[in-house]
Amino acid sequence: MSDPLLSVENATKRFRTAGHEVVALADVSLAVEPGECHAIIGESGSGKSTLAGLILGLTQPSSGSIRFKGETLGARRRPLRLKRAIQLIQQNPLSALNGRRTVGQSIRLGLDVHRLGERSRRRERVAELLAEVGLPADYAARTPRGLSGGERQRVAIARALACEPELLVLDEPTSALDVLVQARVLNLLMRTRREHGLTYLFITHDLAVVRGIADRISVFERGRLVEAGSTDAIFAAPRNAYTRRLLGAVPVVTAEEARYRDRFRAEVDVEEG
Amino acid sequence: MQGGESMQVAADESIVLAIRDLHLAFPGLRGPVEVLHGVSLHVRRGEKVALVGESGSGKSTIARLVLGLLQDRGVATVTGSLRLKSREILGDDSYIQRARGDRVAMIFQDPVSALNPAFTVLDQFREVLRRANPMISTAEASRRARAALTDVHLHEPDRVLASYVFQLSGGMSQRVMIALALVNGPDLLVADEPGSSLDVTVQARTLHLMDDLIGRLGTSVLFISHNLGVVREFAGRVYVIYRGRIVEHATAAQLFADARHPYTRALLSAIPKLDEAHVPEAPEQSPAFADPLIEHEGCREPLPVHG
Repeated sequence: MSDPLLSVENATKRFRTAGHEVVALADVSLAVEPGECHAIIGESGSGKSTLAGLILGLTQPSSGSIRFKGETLGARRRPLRLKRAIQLIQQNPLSALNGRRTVGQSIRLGLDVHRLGERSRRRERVAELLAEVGLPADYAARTPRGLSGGERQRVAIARALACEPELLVLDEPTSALDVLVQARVLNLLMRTRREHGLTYLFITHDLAVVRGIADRISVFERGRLVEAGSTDAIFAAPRNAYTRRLLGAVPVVTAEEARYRDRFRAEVDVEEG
Repeated sequence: MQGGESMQVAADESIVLAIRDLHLAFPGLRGPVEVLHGVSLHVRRGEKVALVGESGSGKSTIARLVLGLLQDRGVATVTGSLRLKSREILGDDSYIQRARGDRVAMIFQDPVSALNPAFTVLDQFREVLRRANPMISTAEASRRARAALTDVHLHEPDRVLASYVFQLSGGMSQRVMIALALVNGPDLLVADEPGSSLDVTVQARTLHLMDDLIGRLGTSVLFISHNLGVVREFAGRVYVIYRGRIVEHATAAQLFADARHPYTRALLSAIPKLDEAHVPEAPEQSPAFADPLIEHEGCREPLPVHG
């Protein structure tokens, strides 16, 4: 196996709230291989978004380390080249995009900050990026508020691509979208990954989405990594009780899907917990 | 409203909610903009009926009209008929305001914002119980509230009753909202995306519990959802709505075995499946999505639709 693009080694993150300590991430180790789509699965409180924050440098681990291409991402200010290499796509693109900037300005910012391409060509580059995510060039003049949810997410993808990243951290990128729009954005993300040779860290609670996109999976429960493996292996034979419980709770739409799901569906427990 | 027809409605007492040819328009810059284009649907006693569609389809607007909670109702133009147990409620705001919380109850997507943060759970139960019985004693209200919480498997009812919403978890708040909605034994429960803000394991438990309680009470439910998977588990009959028009009407069994409308088929094919190791192909927007209503066998509206 090649050297991992990203490795998380024994990362622990503790928060102190209202006098007591919360362990948001407990001794987590995982490796993301170059070119793979690695899914992080978990429900609220699982630590999946804390992990994203550590990788993006928004917070620092209480202990343990995170390395990108062998280089430790330290507590000091992260150099621009690392910020460029790791880009984020969030669940809600409206809050992720600056509402006072036009779409074109948002996309161009990355080009300017990281000095990508010749200045004189950047306007053209913005149009290329819009075309790549399936939006017309005149969208450059519009503001995020005037766009649909799917269009905004496309703009967020174009903005990330502008930075020529190596790793995209996608935090529930399609959870807020309608199902037809979600299918289009998922297809766009898969095509983009293929064409740019990108690596994805795809954070989601949606196991059906994961089945379709991920090469490997790490399942988180209450800050702990409880199961990890290839998507095929985990869907064929999930070992962890929590993974099975998650699979058993998925609402499904076909009889074949229901047959698969019901293998993991114990009696649904109505008790609080 | 022809007299003959209202007689017919009155005769069919099993119908709890009957919506007929409902049109709704808001004033726009270039004249009125119609958002509901003649919607008809019905819910019988004890039935669980789903109205499923994407955002902007008009499904939540219909829920709000049923509950008399549509904002901008003043500027909207509404025509058609909306009957609760054969009583016309369109335009009868005073009736619906009295009925709400008593004969008609609702469950929202986000329990935390639907419950009042300034009052304890017990205060909110008292308020709701007084809508049905203004003379109810404090002791009786507390007893009923405690029993309602036990029905939704909340094991420390006294602690929950003394709590404010922010002291409860999302799953507990959802249970409190279900208990509050059902405490007066309403004829109709309107559930707008219940549980969709919860984790899947909590959502599955919550829906199971709601289903169980509704079954015991015999409550009729209009279930508003964008999630076909949840609809498949919960509903007996389904209306699919697209841009203010019902496009397919079937039992849940018929719909999921044999979806016929191009829009429904597109929705179903776009949903990622647990047993398929690829991203679903994205169906293109198609003029066929606006094809006329398809009704499956046995799924006729009980009355002729006028207009």
